[in-house]
Amino acid sequence: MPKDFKDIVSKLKQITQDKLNEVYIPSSKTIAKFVPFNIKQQKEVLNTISEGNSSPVEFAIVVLQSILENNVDKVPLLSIDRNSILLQMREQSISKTIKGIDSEQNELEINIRQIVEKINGEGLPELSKEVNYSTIKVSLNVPTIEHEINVNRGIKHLIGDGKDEKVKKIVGDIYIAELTKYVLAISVEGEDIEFHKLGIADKIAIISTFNHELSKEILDFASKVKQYEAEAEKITIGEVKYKIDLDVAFLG
Amino acid sequence: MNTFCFNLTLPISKKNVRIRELKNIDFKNILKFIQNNDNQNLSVYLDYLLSIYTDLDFVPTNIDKFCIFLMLRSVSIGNVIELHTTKDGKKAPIIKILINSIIDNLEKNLSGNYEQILEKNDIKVIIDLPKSLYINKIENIFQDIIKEIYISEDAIGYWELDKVEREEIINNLDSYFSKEIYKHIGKIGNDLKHILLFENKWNVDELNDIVLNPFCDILLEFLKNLYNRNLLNYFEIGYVLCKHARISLEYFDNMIPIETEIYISQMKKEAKEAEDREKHSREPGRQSVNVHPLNNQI
Repeated sequence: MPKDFKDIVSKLKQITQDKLNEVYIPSSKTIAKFVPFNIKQQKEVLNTISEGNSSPVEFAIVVLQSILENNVDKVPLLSIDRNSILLQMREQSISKTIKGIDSEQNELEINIRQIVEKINGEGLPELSKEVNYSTIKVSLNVPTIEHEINVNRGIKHLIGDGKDEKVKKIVGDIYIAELTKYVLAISVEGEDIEFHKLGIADKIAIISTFNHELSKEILDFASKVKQYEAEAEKITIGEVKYKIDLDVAFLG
Repeated sequence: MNTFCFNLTLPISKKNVRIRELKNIDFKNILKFIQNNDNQNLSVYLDYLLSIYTDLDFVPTNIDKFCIFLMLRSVSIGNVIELHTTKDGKKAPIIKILINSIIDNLEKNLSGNYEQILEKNDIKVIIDLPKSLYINKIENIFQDIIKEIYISEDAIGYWELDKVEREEIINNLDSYFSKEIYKHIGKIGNDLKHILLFENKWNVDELNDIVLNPFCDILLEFLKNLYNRNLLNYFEIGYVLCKHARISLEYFDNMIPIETEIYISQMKKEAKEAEDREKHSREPGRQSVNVHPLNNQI
Protein backbone atom coordinates (compact mmCIF):
# COMPACT_ATOMS: atom_id res chain seq x y z
CA MET A 1 0.00 0.00 0.00
CA PRO A 2 1.67 3.27 -1.07
CA LYS A 3 1.18 5.50 1.96
CA ASP A 4 3.55 8.19 0.81
CA PHE A 5 1.50 11.01 -0.66
CA LYS A 6 3.98 11.93 -3.40
CA ASP A 7 4.17 8.28 -4.36
CA ILE A 8 0.37 8.10 -4.67
CA VAL A 9 0.23 11.22 -6.88
CA SER A 10 3.04 10.03 -9.11
CA LYS A 11 1.38 6.59 -9.50
CA LEU A 12 -1.91 8.27 -10.41
CA LYS A 13 -0.19 10.46 -12.99
CA GLN A 14 1.69 7.48 -14.38
CA ILE A 15 -1.51 5.46 -14.86
CA THR A 16 -3.12 8.41 -16.66
CA GLN A 17 -0.06 8.93 -18.87
CA ASP A 18 -0.11 5.26 -19.81
CA LYS A 19 -3.62 5.51 -21.24
CA LEU A 20 -3.43 8.41 -23.67
CA ASN A 21 -6.17 9.43 -26.06
CA GLU A 22 -5.26 9.28 -29.71
CA VAL A 23 -6.87 12.21 -31.42
CA TYR A 24 -7.11 13.14 -35.11
CA ILE A 25 -6.10 16.77 -35.74
CA PRO A 26 -8.07 18.15 -38.72
CA SER A 27 -5.76 21.09 -39.54
CA SER A 28 -2.60 18.98 -39.84
CA LYS A 29 -4.35 15.68 -40.72
CA THR A 30 -2.23 13.89 -38.12
CA ILE A 31 -2.90 11.79 -35.03
CA ALA A 32 -1.74 13.31 -31.73
CA LYS A 33 -1.64 11.91 -28.23
CA PHE A 34 -3.51 13.64 -25.41
CA VAL A 35 -3.68 13.04 -21.67
CA PRO A 36 -7.39 12.69 -20.75
CA PHE A 37 -8.88 15.70 -18.93
CA ASN A 38 -8.57 15.42 -15.20
CA ILE A 39 -10.96 16.56 -12.47
CA LYS A 40 -8.93 19.72 -11.77
CA GLN A 41 -9.42 20.86 -15.35
CA GLN A 42 -13.08 19.97 -15.16
CA LYS A 43 -13.47 22.05 -11.99
CA GLU A 44 -11.79 24.99 -13.71
CA VAL A 45 -14.32 24.68 -16.53
CA LEU A 46 -17.18 24.63 -14.01
CA ASN A 47 -15.78 27.68 -12.22
CA THR A 48 -16.08 29.74 -15.42
CA ILE A 49 -19.85 29.82 -14.84
CA SER A 50 -19.32 32.34 -12.05
CA GLU A 51 -17.41 34.79 -14.27
CA GLY A 52 -20.50 36.86 -15.19
CA ASN A 53 -20.40 38.51 -18.61
CA SER A 54 -16.89 37.28 -19.32
CA SER A 55 -17.95 33.67 -18.60
CA PRO A 56 -18.00 32.49 -22.28
CA VAL A 57 -14.56 34.04 -22.88
CA GLU A 58 -13.16 32.52 -19.70
CA PHE A 59 -14.67 29.16 -20.68
CA ALA A 60 -12.89 29.35 -24.05
CA ILE A 61 -9.58 30.26 -22.36
CA VAL A 62 -9.79 27.40 -19.84
CA VAL A 63 -10.75 24.82 -22.44
CA LEU A 64 -8.01 25.87 -24.87
CA GLN A 65 -5.43 25.90 -22.07
CA SER A 66 -6.45 22.39 -21.04
CA ILE A 67 -6.05 21.22 -24.63
CA LEU A 68 -2.55 22.72 -24.77
CA GLU A 69 -1.56 21.21 -21.40
CA ASN A 70 -2.73 17.74 -22.40
CA ASN A 71 -1.13 17.81 -25.85
CA VAL A 72 1.69 15.37 -25.02
CA ASP A 73 3.63 15.66 -28.27
CA LYS A 74 3.11 19.43 -28.46
CA VAL A 75 1.69 19.10 -31.97
CA PRO A 76 0.85 22.53 -33.49
CA LEU A 77 -2.87 23.16 -33.03
CA LEU A 78 -5.19 25.70 -34.62
CA SER A 79 -8.39 27.08 -33.15
CA ILE A 80 -10.45 25.09 -35.70
CA ASP A 81 -9.12 21.85 -34.17
CA ARG A 82 -10.72 22.61 -30.83
CA ASN A 83 -14.17 21.08 -31.31
CA SER A 84 -12.91 17.92 -32.95
CA ILE A 85 -10.37 17.43 -30.14
CA LEU A 86 -13.01 17.99 -27.45
CA LEU A 87 -15.42 15.53 -29.02
CA GLN A 88 -12.77 12.86 -29.50
CA MET A 89 -11.45 13.25 -25.94
CA ARG A 90 -14.93 12.97 -24.53
CA GLU A 91 -15.64 9.96 -26.71
CA GLN A 92 -12.52 8.18 -25.46
CA SER A 93 -12.59 9.26 -21.80
CA ILE A 94 -16.15 9.77 -20.67
CA SER A 95 -18.83 8.41 -22.94
CA LYS A 96 -19.36 7.48 -26.55
CA THR A 97 -22.70 9.27 -26.72
CA ILE A 98 -23.96 12.78 -26.13
CA LYS A 99 -27.42 14.33 -25.89
CA GLY A 100 -28.62 16.28 -28.90
CA ILE A 101 -31.74 18.47 -28.93
CA ASP A 102 -33.94 19.12 -31.95
CA SER A 103 -35.90 22.30 -32.67
CA GLU A 104 -38.82 21.00 -30.60
CA GLN A 105 -36.57 20.29 -27.62
CA ASN A 106 -36.73 16.51 -28.12
CA GLU A 107 -33.60 14.79 -26.85
CA LEU A 108 -31.71 12.03 -28.59
CA GLU A 109 -28.56 10.11 -27.63
CA ILE A 110 -26.13 10.76 -30.46
CA ASN A 111 -23.07 8.72 -31.17
CA ILE A 112 -20.10 11.11 -30.90
CA ARG A 113 -18.28 9.18 -33.64
CA GLN A 114 -20.92 10.32 -36.15
CA ILE A 115 -20.17 13.97 -35.41
CA VAL A 116 -16.41 13.46 -35.35
CA GLU A 117 -16.45 11.75 -38.73
CA LYS A 118 -18.66 14.49 -40.11
CA ILE A 119 -16.41 17.37 -39.03
CA ASN A 120 -13.16 15.57 -39.78
CA GLY A 121 -14.44 14.76 -43.26
CA GLU A 122 -15.72 18.29 -43.77
CA GLY A 123 -13.65 20.43 -46.13
CA LEU A 124 -11.45 22.73 -44.06
CA PRO A 125 -11.77 26.45 -44.67
CA GLU A 126 -8.79 28.35 -46.09
CA LEU A 127 -6.09 28.33 -43.40
CA SER A 128 -4.39 31.50 -44.68
CA LYS A 129 -5.05 34.24 -47.17
CA GLU A 130 -3.64 37.58 -48.24
CA VAL A 131 -5.93 40.50 -48.93
CA ASN A 132 -4.97 43.83 -50.48
CA TYR A 133 -6.50 47.23 -50.71
CA SER A 134 -4.56 50.03 -52.27
CA THR A 135 -1.17 50.00 -50.54
CA ILE A 136 -2.39 47.97 -47.57
CA LYS A 137 -1.62 44.26 -47.49
CA VAL A 138 -3.17 42.09 -44.77
CA SER A 139 -2.12 38.50 -44.09
CA LEU A 140 -4.92 36.45 -42.60
CA ASN A 141 -4.69 33.05 -41.03
CA VAL A 142 -6.60 30.73 -38.77
CA PRO A 143 -5.21 31.48 -35.29
CA THR A 144 -3.19 28.98 -33.36
CA ILE A 145 -4.68 27.94 -30.02
CA GLU A 146 -2.00 29.97 -28.19
CA HIS A 147 -2.91 33.07 -30.18
CA GLU A 148 -6.63 32.55 -29.58
CA ILE A 149 -5.94 32.32 -25.82
CA ASN A 150 -3.97 35.59 -25.88
CA VAL A 151 -6.68 37.48 -27.75
CA ASN A 152 -9.35 36.03 -25.47
CA ARG A 153 -7.38 37.28 -22.46
CA GLY A 154 -7.38 40.73 -24.09
CA ILE A 155 -11.14 40.50 -24.63
CA LYS A 156 -11.62 39.46 -21.01
CA HIS A 157 -9.62 42.49 -19.96
CA LEU A 158 -11.85 44.70 -22.14
CA ILE A 159 -14.97 43.30 -20.53
CA GLY A 160 -13.35 43.97 -17.16
CA ASP A 161 -15.55 43.49 -14.14
CA GLY A 162 -18.41 42.27 -16.28
CA LYS A 163 -20.87 45.06 -15.43
CA ASP A 164 -23.70 45.03 -17.98
CA GLU A 165 -23.38 48.74 -18.82
CA LYS A 166 -19.71 48.43 -19.62
CA VAL A 167 -20.28 45.43 -21.87
CA LYS A 168 -22.92 47.33 -23.83
CA LYS A 169 -20.46 50.18 -24.44
CA ILE A 170 -17.61 47.95 -25.61
CA VAL A 171 -19.56 45.44 -27.64
CA GLY A 172 -18.15 46.97 -30.87
CA ASP A 173 -14.60 46.62 -29.56
CA ILE A 174 -15.22 42.98 -28.64
CA TYR A 175 -16.46 42.33 -32.16
CA ILE A 176 -13.30 43.86 -33.68
CA ALA A 177 -11.12 42.04 -31.14
CA GLU A 178 -12.60 38.77 -32.48
CA LEU A 179 -11.51 39.76 -35.99
CA THR A 180 -7.96 40.55 -34.83
CA LYS A 181 -7.52 36.83 -34.09
CA TYR A 182 -7.36 36.20 -37.83
CA VAL A 183 -4.89 38.95 -38.73
CA LEU A 184 -1.31 37.78 -38.77
CA ALA A 185 0.50 40.71 -40.35
CA ILE A 186 -0.17 44.04 -42.02
CA SER A 187 2.00 46.07 -44.29
CA VAL A 188 1.29 49.59 -45.43
CA GLU A 189 3.20 50.97 -48.44
CA GLY A 190 5.62 48.07 -48.14
CA GLU A 191 6.33 48.74 -44.48
CA ASP A 192 5.50 45.88 -42.11
CA ILE A 193 3.60 46.47 -38.92
CA GLU A 194 4.43 43.86 -36.29
CA PHE A 195 0.78 43.33 -35.67
CA HIS A 196 1.12 40.23 -33.51
CA LYS A 197 3.30 42.15 -31.06
CA LEU A 198 0.69 44.86 -30.41
CA GLY A 199 -1.67 44.99 -27.45
CA ILE A 200 -5.37 44.38 -27.93
CA ALA A 201 -6.30 48.09 -27.82
CA ASP A 202 -3.77 48.98 -30.55
CA LYS A 203 -4.92 46.06 -32.69
CA ILE A 204 -8.53 47.22 -32.39
CA ALA A 205 -7.47 50.77 -33.24
CA ILE A 206 -5.74 49.64 -36.43
CA ILE A 207 -8.53 47.33 -37.64
CA SER A 208 -11.04 50.09 -36.91
CA THR A 209 -9.34 52.29 -39.52
CA PHE A 210 -9.88 49.71 -42.28
CA ASN A 211 -12.44 50.60 -44.89
CA HIS A 212 -15.52 48.52 -45.62
CA GLU A 213 -13.92 46.38 -48.35
CA LEU A 214 -10.93 45.35 -46.27
CA SER A 215 -13.07 44.71 -43.18
CA LYS A 216 -15.42 42.58 -45.29
CA GLU A 217 -12.52 40.44 -46.52
CA ILE A 218 -11.45 39.74 -42.95
CA LEU A 219 -15.03 39.09 -41.90
CA ASP A 220 -15.59 36.64 -44.77
CA PHE A 221 -12.44 34.74 -43.84
CA ALA A 222 -13.44 34.62 -40.17
CA SER A 223 -17.03 33.63 -41.02
CA LYS A 224 -15.89 30.58 -42.99
CA VAL A 225 -13.78 29.44 -40.03
CA LYS A 226 -16.68 30.02 -37.63
CA GLN A 227 -19.02 28.16 -39.95
CA TYR A 228 -16.66 25.17 -39.96
CA GLU A 229 -16.43 25.31 -36.14
CA ALA A 230 -20.21 25.49 -35.82
CA GLU A 231 -20.58 22.23 -37.79
CA ALA A 232 -19.35 20.38 -34.68
CA GLU A 233 -22.51 21.47 -32.90
CA LYS A 234 -24.97 20.28 -35.54
CA ILE A 235 -25.96 16.90 -36.88
CA THR A 236 -28.80 15.67 -39.04
CA ILE A 237 -30.20 12.23 -38.32
CA GLY A 238 -32.82 11.14 -40.82
CA GLU A 239 -34.50 14.42 -41.55
CA VAL A 240 -34.21 15.85 -38.06
CA LYS A 241 -31.54 18.41 -37.23
CA TYR A 242 -30.04 18.16 -33.75
CA LYS A 243 -28.01 20.72 -31.84
CA ILE A 244 -25.19 19.75 -29.52
CA ASP A 245 -23.76 22.26 -27.05
CA LEU A 246 -20.01 22.03 -26.51
CA ASP A 247 -20.38 24.07 -23.35
CA VAL A 248 -19.70 23.77 -19.61
CA ALA A 249 -22.17 20.90 -19.28
CA PHE A 250 -20.41 19.01 -22.07
CA LEU A 251 -17.09 19.14 -20.23
CA GLY A 252 -18.22 19.59 -16.65
CA MET B 1 -18.09 6.16 28.84
CA ASN B 2 -18.56 6.05 32.60
CA THR B 3 -21.58 8.30 32.47
CA PHE B 4 -25.17 8.06 31.30
CA CYS B 5 -25.40 7.30 27.60
CA PHE B 6 -27.91 5.97 25.10
CA ASN B 7 -27.69 3.81 21.96
CA LEU B 8 -28.59 4.51 18.39
CA THR B 9 -28.33 2.25 15.38
CA LEU B 10 -27.17 4.41 12.50
CA PRO B 11 -29.46 4.10 9.45
CA ILE B 12 -26.68 4.07 6.84
CA SER B 13 -23.75 2.22 8.41
CA LYS B 14 -26.13 0.03 10.48
CA LYS B 15 -23.59 0.28 13.29
CA ASN B 16 -24.53 0.85 16.88
CA VAL B 17 -23.25 4.03 18.50
CA ARG B 18 -23.30 5.07 22.16
CA ILE B 19 -24.04 8.74 22.76
CA ARG B 20 -23.64 10.86 25.92
CA GLU B 21 -25.97 13.69 26.81
CA LEU B 22 -25.14 17.20 25.59
CA LYS B 23 -23.84 19.64 28.20
CA ASN B 24 -24.89 23.29 28.45
CA ILE B 25 -21.37 24.51 27.67
CA ASP B 26 -21.47 22.80 24.27
CA PHE B 27 -25.08 23.73 23.67
CA LYS B 28 -24.15 27.40 24.19
CA ASN B 29 -21.30 27.06 21.68
CA ILE B 30 -23.70 25.55 19.14
CA LEU B 31 -26.03 28.51 19.68
CA LYS B 32 -23.17 30.95 19.10
CA PHE B 33 -22.33 29.36 15.73
CA ILE B 34 -26.02 29.33 14.79
CA GLN B 35 -26.47 32.99 15.67
CA ASN B 36 -23.32 33.88 13.74
CA ASN B 37 -24.76 31.94 10.80
CA ASP B 38 -21.34 30.32 10.50
CA ASN B 39 -22.21 26.99 8.90
CA GLN B 40 -18.64 26.06 8.09
CA ASN B 41 -17.38 26.32 11.66
CA LEU B 42 -20.60 24.90 13.07
CA SER B 43 -19.99 21.80 10.99
CA VAL B 44 -16.40 21.54 12.26
CA TYR B 45 -17.64 21.97 15.84
CA LEU B 46 -20.32 19.29 15.39
CA ASP B 47 -17.61 16.91 14.16
CA TYR B 48 -15.63 17.72 17.30
CA LEU B 49 -18.71 16.97 19.43
CA LEU B 50 -19.03 13.58 17.72
CA SER B 51 -15.52 12.79 18.91
CA ILE B 52 -16.29 13.62 22.55
CA TYR B 53 -19.94 12.56 22.85
CA THR B 54 -19.87 9.26 20.97
CA ASP B 55 -17.77 6.11 20.75
CA LEU B 56 -17.59 6.25 16.94
CA ASP B 57 -14.43 4.70 15.51
CA PHE B 58 -15.09 5.66 11.88
CA VAL B 59 -16.18 8.76 9.95
CA PRO B 60 -19.92 8.39 9.40
CA THR B 61 -21.90 9.71 6.43
CA ASN B 62 -23.70 13.01 6.89
CA ILE B 63 -27.09 11.24 7.21
CA ASP B 64 -25.73 9.15 10.09
CA LYS B 65 -24.30 12.31 11.68
CA PHE B 66 -27.66 14.00 11.21
CA CYS B 67 -29.41 11.15 13.05
CA ILE B 68 -26.91 11.33 15.93
CA PHE B 69 -27.64 15.04 16.38
CA LEU B 70 -31.39 14.44 16.11
CA MET B 71 -31.09 11.86 18.89
CA LEU B 72 -28.84 14.14 20.95
CA ARG B 73 -31.45 16.90 20.58
CA SER B 74 -34.26 14.57 21.54
CA VAL B 75 -32.58 13.24 24.68
CA SER B 76 -30.74 16.34 25.89
CA ILE B 77 -33.07 19.18 24.95
CA GLY B 78 -36.44 17.56 24.34
CA ASN B 79 -38.19 15.26 21.92
CA VAL B 80 -41.04 17.59 21.03
CA ILE B 81 -40.84 20.50 18.61
CA GLU B 82 -43.71 22.96 18.77
CA LEU B 83 -44.46 24.95 15.65
CA HIS B 84 -46.51 28.14 15.94
CA THR B 85 -47.98 28.76 12.52
CA THR B 86 -50.87 30.33 10.65
CA LYS B 87 -53.33 28.85 8.20
CA ASP B 88 -55.09 31.06 5.65
CA GLY B 89 -53.66 34.04 7.50
CA LYS B 90 -55.16 33.01 10.86
CA LYS B 91 -53.40 31.56 13.87
CA ALA B 92 -53.35 27.77 13.58
CA PRO B 93 -53.27 25.25 16.44
CA ILE B 94 -49.74 24.50 17.63
CA ILE B 95 -48.17 21.67 15.64
CA LYS B 96 -46.20 19.17 17.70
CA ILE B 97 -43.55 17.03 16.02
CA LEU B 98 -41.65 14.24 17.72
CA ILE B 99 -37.97 14.11 16.78
CA ASN B 100 -37.94 10.36 17.36
CA SER B 101 -40.53 9.99 14.62
CA ILE B 102 -38.11 11.67 12.16
CA ILE B 103 -35.40 9.18 13.14
CA ASP B 104 -37.85 6.27 12.85
CA ASN B 105 -38.87 7.47 9.40
CA LEU B 106 -35.24 7.61 8.25
CA GLU B 107 -34.48 4.16 9.69
CA LYS B 108 -37.54 2.74 7.94
CA ASN B 109 -36.88 4.30 4.52
CA LEU B 110 -33.10 4.28 4.11
CA SER B 111 -31.74 1.15 2.51
CA GLY B 112 -28.28 1.62 3.98
CA ASN B 113 -26.37 0.83 0.83
CA TYR B 114 -25.48 3.77 -1.34
CA GLU B 115 -21.93 2.68 -2.06
CA GLN B 116 -20.75 2.42 -5.66
CA ILE B 117 -17.49 1.21 -7.17
CA LEU B 118 -16.03 3.11 -10.13
CA GLU B 119 -13.18 1.63 -12.09
CA LYS B 120 -11.05 2.87 -14.92
CA ASN B 121 -7.67 1.57 -15.97
CA ASP B 122 -5.88 0.58 -12.78
CA ILE B 123 -7.78 2.96 -10.53
CA LYS B 124 -10.77 2.00 -8.42
CA VAL B 125 -12.76 4.67 -6.58
CA ILE B 126 -15.39 3.74 -4.00
CA ILE B 127 -17.99 6.42 -3.50
CA ASP B 128 -20.75 6.71 -0.93
CA LEU B 129 -22.86 9.44 0.65
CA PRO B 130 -21.00 12.62 1.64
CA LYS B 131 -19.56 12.83 5.13
CA SER B 132 -19.78 16.54 5.83
CA LEU B 133 -22.89 18.35 7.03
CA TYR B 134 -21.54 21.55 5.45
CA ILE B 135 -21.79 21.47 1.69
CA ASN B 136 -21.34 24.81 -0.01
CA LYS B 137 -20.32 23.81 -3.53
CA ILE B 138 -21.10 20.75 -5.56
CA GLU B 139 -17.43 20.37 -6.46
CA ASN B 140 -16.57 20.12 -2.73
CA ILE B 141 -18.76 17.03 -2.53
CA PHE B 142 -16.13 15.21 -4.58
CA GLN B 143 -13.67 15.21 -1.71
CA ASP B 144 -16.36 14.18 0.73
CA ILE B 145 -18.10 11.51 -1.27
CA ILE B 146 -15.03 9.33 -1.86
CA LYS B 147 -14.68 6.50 0.62
CA GLU B 148 -11.44 4.95 -0.66
CA ILE B 149 -9.24 4.93 -3.73
CA TYR B 150 -7.32 1.88 -4.90
CA ILE B 151 -4.35 2.08 -7.23
CA SER B 152 -3.51 -1.32 -8.68
CA GLU B 153 -5.62 -2.97 -5.93
CA ASP B 154 -3.80 -1.11 -3.12
CA ALA B 155 -5.89 1.18 -0.91
CA ILE B 156 -4.23 4.58 -0.62
CA GLY B 157 -5.74 5.28 2.83
CA TYR B 158 -7.73 8.22 1.46
CA TRP B 159 -9.11 9.36 4.83
CA GLU B 160 -5.66 9.22 6.41
CA LEU B 161 -4.54 12.01 4.06
CA ASP B 162 -5.15 15.64 4.99
CA LYS B 163 -7.65 17.84 3.15
CA VAL B 164 -5.08 19.42 0.81
CA GLU B 165 -3.65 16.04 -0.11
CA ARG B 166 -7.11 14.58 -0.76
CA GLU B 167 -7.84 17.52 -3.06
CA GLU B 168 -4.59 16.95 -4.95
CA ILE B 169 -5.43 13.27 -5.43
CA ILE B 170 -8.90 14.12 -6.77
CA ASN B 171 -7.49 16.75 -9.13
CA ASN B 172 -5.34 14.08 -10.72
CA LEU B 173 -8.17 11.63 -11.31
CA ASP B 174 -9.46 11.16 -14.83
CA SER B 175 -12.55 13.23 -15.63
CA TYR B 176 -14.42 9.95 -16.20
CA PHE B 177 -14.74 9.68 -12.41
CA SER B 178 -16.37 13.07 -12.03
CA LYS B 179 -18.95 12.24 -14.67
CA GLU B 180 -19.77 9.04 -12.78
CA ILE B 181 -19.87 10.89 -9.46
CA TYR B 182 -22.42 13.32 -10.92
CA LYS B 183 -24.50 10.36 -12.08
CA HIS B 184 -24.26 8.84 -8.58
CA ILE B 185 -25.41 12.12 -7.01
CA GLY B 186 -28.34 12.31 -9.42
CA LYS B 187 -29.36 8.71 -8.78
CA ILE B 188 -29.21 8.96 -4.98
CA GLY B 189 -31.02 12.30 -5.06
CA ASN B 190 -33.75 10.59 -7.05
CA ASP B 191 -33.85 7.55 -4.74
CA LEU B 192 -34.19 9.71 -1.62
CA LYS B 193 -36.64 12.30 -2.86
CA HIS B 194 -39.62 10.42 -1.41
CA ILE B 195 -38.15 10.66 2.12
CA LEU B 196 -39.45 13.75 3.86
CA LEU B 197 -37.85 15.27 6.96
CA PHE B 198 -40.96 17.36 7.38
CA GLU B 199 -44.34 17.01 5.70
CA ASN B 200 -46.71 19.93 5.83
CA LYS B 201 -49.79 17.75 6.17
CA TRP B 202 -51.60 20.55 8.03
CA ASN B 203 -51.27 22.87 5.00
CA VAL B 204 -50.12 25.74 7.19
CA ASP B 205 -48.96 28.92 5.48
CA GLU B 206 -45.27 29.31 6.21
CA LEU B 207 -43.98 25.76 5.83
CA ASN B 208 -43.09 23.57 2.89
CA ASP B 209 -42.26 19.88 2.72
CA ILE B 210 -38.56 19.26 3.40
CA VAL B 211 -36.99 16.48 1.35
CA LEU B 212 -33.97 14.54 2.58
CA ASN B 213 -31.00 15.62 0.46
CA PRO B 214 -27.48 14.74 1.61
CA PHE B 215 -25.89 16.81 -1.19
CA CYS B 216 -26.82 20.27 0.07
CA ASP B 217 -26.97 22.15 3.37
CA ILE B 218 -30.52 21.05 4.18
CA LEU B 219 -29.41 18.63 6.94
CA LEU B 220 -27.36 21.31 8.69
CA GLU B 221 -30.09 23.94 8.29
CA PHE B 222 -32.66 21.52 9.69
CA LEU B 223 -30.46 20.83 12.74
CA LYS B 224 -29.91 24.57 13.23
CA ASN B 225 -33.67 25.08 13.42
CA LEU B 226 -34.04 22.26 15.93
CA TYR B 227 -31.25 23.48 18.21
CA ASN B 228 -31.83 27.22 17.94
CA ARG B 229 -32.75 29.11 21.10
CA ASN B 230 -32.34 32.69 22.29
CA LEU B 231 -28.70 32.74 23.42
CA LEU B 232 -29.16 35.77 25.69
CA ASN B 233 -32.02 34.01 27.51
CA TYR B 234 -29.77 31.05 28.01
CA PHE B 235 -27.15 33.22 29.71
CA GLU B 236 -29.90 34.75 31.85
CA ILE B 237 -31.07 31.27 32.88
CA GLY B 238 -27.48 30.47 33.92
CA TYR B 239 -27.34 33.68 35.95
CA VAL B 240 -30.67 33.00 37.68
CA LEU B 241 -29.69 29.44 38.57
CA CYS B 242 -26.27 30.50 39.85
CA LYS B 243 -27.78 33.30 41.94
CA HIS B 244 -30.96 31.73 43.30
CA ALA B 245 -30.23 27.99 43.26
CA ARG B 246 -26.69 28.66 44.51
CA ILE B 247 -25.01 26.49 41.89
CA SER B 248 -21.65 27.33 40.34
CA LEU B 249 -21.28 28.40 36.73
CA GLU B 250 -19.16 25.32 36.17
CA TYR B 251 -21.98 23.14 37.51
CA PHE B 252 -24.44 24.94 35.22
CA ASP B 253 -22.16 24.42 32.19
CA ASN B 254 -22.00 20.69 32.94
CA MET B 255 -25.77 20.34 33.29
CA ILE B 256 -27.89 18.94 30.47
CA PRO B 257 -30.25 21.48 28.84
CA ILE B 258 -33.30 19.38 29.67
CA GLU B 259 -32.22 19.25 33.36
CA THR B 260 -31.83 23.02 33.29
CA GLU B 261 -35.42 23.29 32.08
CA ILE B 262 -36.57 21.08 34.98
CA TYR B 263 -34.67 23.23 37.52
CA ILE B 264 -36.09 26.41 36.05
CA SER B 265 -39.64 25.11 35.96
CA GLN B 266 -39.31 23.88 39.56
CA MET B 267 -38.00 27.30 40.60
CA LYS B 268 -40.89 28.99 38.80
CA LYS B 269 -43.35 26.66 40.52
CA GLU B 270 -41.87 27.39 43.95
CA ALA B 271 -41.82 31.13 43.28
CA LYS B 272 -45.47 30.98 42.22
CA GLU B 273 -46.41 29.03 45.35
CA ALA B 274 -44.54 31.53 47.52
CA GLU B 275 -46.28 34.40 45.75
CA ASP B 276 -49.69 32.74 46.23
CA ARG B 277 -49.01 32.16 49.94
CA GLU B 278 -47.94 35.77 50.31
CA LYS B 279 -51.07 37.01 48.51
CA HIS B 280 -53.25 34.71 50.59
CA SER B 281 -51.78 35.90 53.87
CA ARG B 282 -52.38 39.56 52.94
CA GLU B 283 -56.10 39.11 52.28
CA PRO B 284 -58.10 41.24 54.82
CA GLY B 285 -59.62 39.38 57.78
CA ARG B 286 -57.23 36.51 57.42
CA GLN B 287 -54.87 35.53 60.12
CA SER B 288 -52.09 33.19 59.66
CA VAL B 289 -52.70 29.80 61.19
CA ASN B 290 -50.38 27.00 61.91
CA VAL B 291 -51.11 23.96 59.85
CA HIS B 292 -50.19 20.62 61.32
CA PRO B 293 -49.96 17.40 59.43
CA LEU B 294 -53.01 15.19 59.73
CA ASN B 295 -51.02 12.07 60.05
CA ASN B 296 -51.93 9.81 62.89
CA GLN B 297 -55.22 11.68 63.49
CA ILE B 298 -58.39 9.64 63.64
